Amino acid sequence: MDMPMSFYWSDQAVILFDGWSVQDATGMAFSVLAIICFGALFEGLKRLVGWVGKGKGLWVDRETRDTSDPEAEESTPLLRSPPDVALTRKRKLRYHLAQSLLHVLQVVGAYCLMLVVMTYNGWLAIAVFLGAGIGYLVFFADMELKQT
Amino acid sequence: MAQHFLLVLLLPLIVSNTAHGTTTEAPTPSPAPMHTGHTMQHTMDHTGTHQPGMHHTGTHQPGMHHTGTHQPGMHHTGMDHTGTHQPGMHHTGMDHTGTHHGMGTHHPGMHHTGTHHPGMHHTGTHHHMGTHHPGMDHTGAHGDHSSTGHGSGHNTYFYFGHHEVVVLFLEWTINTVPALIGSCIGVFAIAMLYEGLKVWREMLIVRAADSSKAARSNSYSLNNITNGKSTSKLDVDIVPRAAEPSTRHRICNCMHALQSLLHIVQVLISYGLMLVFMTFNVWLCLSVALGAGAGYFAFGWRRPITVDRNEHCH
Repeated sequence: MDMPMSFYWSDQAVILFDGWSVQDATGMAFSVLAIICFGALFEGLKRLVGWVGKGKGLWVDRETRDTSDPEAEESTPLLRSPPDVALTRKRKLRYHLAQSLLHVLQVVGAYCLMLVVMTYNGWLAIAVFLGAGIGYLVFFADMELKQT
Repeated sequence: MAQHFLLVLLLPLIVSNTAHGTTTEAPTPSPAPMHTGHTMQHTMDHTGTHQPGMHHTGTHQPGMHHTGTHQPGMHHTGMDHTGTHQPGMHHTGMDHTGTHHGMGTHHPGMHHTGTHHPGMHHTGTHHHMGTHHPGMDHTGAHGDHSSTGHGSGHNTYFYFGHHEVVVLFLEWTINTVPALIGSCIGVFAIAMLYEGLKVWREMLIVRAADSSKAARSNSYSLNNITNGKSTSKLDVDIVPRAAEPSTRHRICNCMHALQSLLHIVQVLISYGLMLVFMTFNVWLCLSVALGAGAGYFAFGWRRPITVDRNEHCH
C-alpha cells in the first residue's frame, strides 16, 4: 500500500472511496467544498447528540427518586405517577437509542474526516480544518457556561 | 529476554552506523538456490539516479528493502533480473512500499509489473542481521538510500529508528540522532501547547461569561438609577434589550469569532499530532503522549469549571 507520509499539494487525489477520484482543479474545488460542508454538518451533529442527551435527561426514573421528600415532587413536574413508570422508562430508552445512533454517526463522521486528512493532500486537509471552524461558528454560537 | 530487548533497541543504531559491506547470504529456505556463494553488497546509492530499465544484475534478493529509493518517474517495467530471475524465487519479504512514482501523482493500484506482492513484510527474512526480529522495521537500517521523493512508505507497526523518518512534511526529515532528539522535544512542546490551548479556550469562555454578567448587572443598576426605581427582584431577571449596552453584543460576537479561530487551530494541531503518531516511530509517539500528559499536568491547575462541550473525536 503506497501511502504518502508527508503533505503534498496536488489536484489529484482519491478520497475515501475508489469512485471518488479527483483529477483536475474543478473536481478538487468541488471536493473541497463538499468536505467543508461535511465538516460543518459534523459539528452540528455533535451539538445534536448533546441536545438529544438533554431530552433523555429530562425523563427521570421514578424508582431512583427519593420519595421521602414531598417537596421534591412539586419541583420535578416531569415525574409521573407509579403507573407511568414503564412509559417513562420506554421514553428514556428511546432517547438513549436515538442518542446511541447519533453517536455511531458521529464516530463514523469523525473517522471519515480523519481518513480525509490522512490522504495528506494539502487542499483536503485545509478543507477539513475550515469545515470544523465554520461548523463551530454556526452551530456553537450559543455556547453557554454550564453553571454548577 | 532482557538482552533480547536491548538488542532490539540498539541494533538499528548499530547497524546504521556501520557501513554496509559484504554480507554473506545466509541459507534461505527457498526452493531454488539462487546466489550460491554470492556476497551481496548493500552499498546501493540511488541518489537522483534516474534509471529507466534499472538493472539488478545478480543483486536482487528476498529481503532487500527498497525504502528510500524514490525517483520521480522511475519505471520498473524495464527491470532486468539477468541471471537471478528464477521461477519460484521468493519475493516474500521484499518491500516496495517506498517506491512512489512521482510526487503528487497519487495512483492507488499502481502496478509494479510483476513485483507487487500485497502484504509483504520483513518478518524474519533479514538473516544477515544474525538475530531474528519479527516485525521490526528496517527502515533505518539502509541508511545509504537517500530519498529524493516522498516519505519512506507506510509502516503498520511501531519501530525504533531515526533514519529517514519523515514527519508531516518532506522538509522535516530525520536522519540523525540529534535531529530525532530535537524533533521529539518539538513534538513534546506542541503536545503541551495543545493541552494549554484547550484550557485557554475554556478560560476565555469563563471570562466572557463573567464580563457579560458584569455588563448585565451594570445595566441593571444604571437602569434603576436613571429611572429612580428601587431594585426589585423582578427587574433583575428581566433584561430589556434596548437597555443593554451594545458592548455586550460586540463582546459576544468578537469572542465567538475568536473561539472559532481557536477551534480551527485546535483541530489543526490535533490532526497534526495524530499524523505524527501515524509515523509509527516509537520515540515520536512517546513524545506525543508524554507531552500531552505534561501539558495536562502543567495547565490543568488553571482549568476552570467544566464546560459542556464535546471535544473528543475531532
